[in-house]
Amino acid sequence: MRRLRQWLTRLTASITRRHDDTRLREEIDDYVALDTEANLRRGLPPAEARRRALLAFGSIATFTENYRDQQGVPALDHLLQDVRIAFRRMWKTPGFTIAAIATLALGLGLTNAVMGLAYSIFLKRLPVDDAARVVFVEQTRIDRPGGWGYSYPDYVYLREHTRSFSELAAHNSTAPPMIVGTPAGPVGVSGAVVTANYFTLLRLTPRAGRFFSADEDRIPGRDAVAILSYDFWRTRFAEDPHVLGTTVRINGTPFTVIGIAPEHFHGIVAGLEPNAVWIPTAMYGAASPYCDAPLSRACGGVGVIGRLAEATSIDQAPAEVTGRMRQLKEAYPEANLGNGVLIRPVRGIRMLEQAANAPVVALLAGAAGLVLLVASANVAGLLLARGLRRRKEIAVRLAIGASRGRLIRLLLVESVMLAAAGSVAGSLIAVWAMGVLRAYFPNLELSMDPWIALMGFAVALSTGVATGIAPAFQSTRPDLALAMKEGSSGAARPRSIVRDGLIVVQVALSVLLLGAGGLLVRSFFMLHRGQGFDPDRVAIVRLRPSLVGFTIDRAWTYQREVIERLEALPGVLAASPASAPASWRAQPVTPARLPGDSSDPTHAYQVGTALVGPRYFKALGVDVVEGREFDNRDSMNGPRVAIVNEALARHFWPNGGAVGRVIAVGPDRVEVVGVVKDLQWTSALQQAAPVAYLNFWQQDRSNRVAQDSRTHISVAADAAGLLPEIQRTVGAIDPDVPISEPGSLGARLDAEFKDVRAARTMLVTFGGLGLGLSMIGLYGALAFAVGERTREIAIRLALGASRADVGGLVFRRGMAIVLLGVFGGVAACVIAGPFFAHLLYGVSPRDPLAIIAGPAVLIVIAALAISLPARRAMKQDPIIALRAE
Amino acid sequence: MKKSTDVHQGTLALMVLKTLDVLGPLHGYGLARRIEHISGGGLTLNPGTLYPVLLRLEQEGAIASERGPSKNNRSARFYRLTRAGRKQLEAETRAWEQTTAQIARFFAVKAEDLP
Repeated sequence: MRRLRQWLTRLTASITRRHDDTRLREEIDDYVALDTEANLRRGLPPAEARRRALLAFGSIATFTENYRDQQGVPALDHLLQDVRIAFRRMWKTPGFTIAAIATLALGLGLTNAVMGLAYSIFLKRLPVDDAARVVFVEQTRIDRPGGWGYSYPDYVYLREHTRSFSELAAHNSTAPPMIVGTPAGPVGVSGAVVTANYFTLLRLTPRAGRFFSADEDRIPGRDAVAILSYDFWRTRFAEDPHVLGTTVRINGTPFTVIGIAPEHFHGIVAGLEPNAVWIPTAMYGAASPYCDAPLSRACGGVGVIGRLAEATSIDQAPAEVTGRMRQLKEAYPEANLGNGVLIRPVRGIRMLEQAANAPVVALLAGAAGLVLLVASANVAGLLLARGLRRRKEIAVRLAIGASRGRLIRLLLVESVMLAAAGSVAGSLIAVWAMGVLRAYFPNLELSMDPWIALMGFAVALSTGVATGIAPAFQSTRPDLALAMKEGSSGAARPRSIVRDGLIVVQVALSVLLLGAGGLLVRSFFMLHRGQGFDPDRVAIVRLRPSLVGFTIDRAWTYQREVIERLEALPGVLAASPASAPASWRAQPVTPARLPGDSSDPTHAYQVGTALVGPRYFKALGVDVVEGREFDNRDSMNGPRVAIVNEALARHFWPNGGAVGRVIAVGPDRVEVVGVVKDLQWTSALQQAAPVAYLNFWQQDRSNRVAQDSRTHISVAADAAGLLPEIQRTVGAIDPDVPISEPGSLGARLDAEFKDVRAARTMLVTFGGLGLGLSMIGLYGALAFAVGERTREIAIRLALGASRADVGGLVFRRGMAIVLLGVFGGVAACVIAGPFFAHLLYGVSPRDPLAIIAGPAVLIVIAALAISLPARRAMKQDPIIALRAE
Repeated sequence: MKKSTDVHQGTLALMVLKTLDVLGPLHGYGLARRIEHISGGGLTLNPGTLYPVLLRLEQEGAIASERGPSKNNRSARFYRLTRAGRKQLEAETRAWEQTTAQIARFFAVKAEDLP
């Protein structure tokens, strides 16, 4: 306690620089005066009395130093002094300071933005009280990765029998879209089905009204109550408080609005479309048209979240839950229970999507790190050049006794201050870059979190040290005498290897970024054009009559009418229903066999399947390679037909002749009527899967989703332009059927491969920035070198060298640096390619054209950057240069 | 900072506290002479050693200081013990006595005393 008080006083004194020098002087004066008096009393003459008193006092300088050291904290005092000196110098050279800060701000800001992205995807907690104790409770399975939900009855059992949680709630946050009636007509929104204790577990307070009571979640179908999200209430109901107590229709069922959720709460699963509506599990039926008894064991599961009890740690809970699951399995052998338990904190986005996003985040982080390295190398070059210009000053400081350590510290303080300022300026760049990233991660809450700012500052401080350390050591090298004697020229000029090396590194890293950017540009281009048709001319709308309770006959009549009316629309070439958008990869999970093959079906060849209607390939704009595509001959009751892709045809009929053969796909025996090319978007790491296209109109009618389609419409011109007309036409047939996800196939590709798009945009931007920085660095270094070698060049000219010789000297040196960097960068790119091959579609990671394009541009710009100092060297007048010495 | 100085400063702090306890408020010069006197002239106290100790004790709150008139109509900074300082003195005196008693026992020990 005493210690603390002492240090606090001293720390404050150091920081406020309130060194009480008056008091110090008074004490000295008083002491000497009192001692002099004592000496006088002893009978000494006044002069002698004072002399002796001063002698006895000892060194005033030592006294002052001891006294001051006790007043403040010496180390801190020195540091603050360094900071003041550094600040003064930065202030005096504003051009240098601004350039260095801006360069570092660029690198630090981009790094910060990517850190923010990683934080939101992997680490961000829910905006609720004591979020660290809120966990997902999931079961794991041998056959599939990730964590899975429980059936509702299993959840109830766990809730009643576990002690590890103070509360256990169930939710389905990814229920099918809820069509909610609003003053401006029905809108499809993301809704969640939750147990009554969901909001109490999260410890949220309603913005208005109240949350569900336990009683409202007891009897299925009785209490139709709903809670709206704040954003939904604000945008669709204009924050009207009278909405509370009124009725809104959700999927046709009238619900009473009882509350509004707090402002920043969008549900517990981040990274998805935010939840706009919550309804109790007892009303599950209204949200799920696909299962008649959604709360039974037979239907799909619910997600479970828990709040850990006070005394339980996250490591203790799984044992208890595993035990309860074993009991459940004994009591209900038919229960579809997994074999393990996964309890993890609610952090970031969904686990499988975390895994899916990890590669692109890693690539962006790596790229931002490279930009930071380029920026650091650039500023290190600036500091180095300035250190050389200050050689004389530093030599004098060393000569009059400054220790090398102290000087190095002073220079490091300066670079750290530059980096700290860069970090502050960089947060503006981070905010901008986050805005860019938000376009690619639309449902991610990406913002400047205090933790990110703090982390960014830590990165900035280490960047400052890393940037400044080499220049600090180099410019304080103790070859004093030489530096002072020779001044700014001649033998003492430190070798420029470090400076040139920094440029080589910058060029190499920029080439790496540009090369990767080139590959991604090509990849993104191939996503759109690699299949041989124009995805921007294909419109897709999703039609789900099953959501409004159609019978299958009515739904199919509807679907047929949609096709007829659309095909009659001017500008439409063809329309066809399909089970999935063309951009989806059909997972090979269906066994396919030739008739007569009686081997074990579990080891059969696995193919993907898709349901498509007649003229589907025409609608896409793809030609059938062999045979024909479905047409009106293939009726509901006619012989079952299929179209296979080349990968599948090659497997079964390597010598061709697939058309007309019969094949068993799952339970169906189908006749192959056509072969199409492998219409798939596969990355450099994937192979085209075998796919069997089955006829939409021949599918199993008992399946409720058989009613629904994603209708593909081929358009003569731009699909996006015709979409309103398409929606109007479809809406006129039956206004009750929700039309969702309208968009062109091109836009869908953009959304589905947003990681490629984000990586492409970012890498090209980063590469461009790296290019700019390294070219500025190159120019600066050469200009500086020419300035340093003025006398040498003058002598060469005076002795008869031609101007071209002199220019060539500079040009050759510059180009050597650039080519060395380009070589290193291309090599690095070839090595790095496989690391992001999963983002490369239709382009090899070693595609020479894509890799070389960036460096070629760089070499042209480099030639320009080099020619400026080279010209200056050529234009030198030897007489003037030599006289100036 | 050398270790011996720390020890010395700690001892000196105790001497300062005790002197102020016995004699009441004193200025720095007076304090130095008194401590030298009490120690029997074996100790010469350099102001460069004494004043930082005074400053530290004041920062710790053990003593307080203010300017006041001295003899001969001069003014000087007088140091006095605070309540916290008195407590500290008591605690340190006890600790010191214990240490010296222990050390004394060690010095007094003879071979035949040990079992």
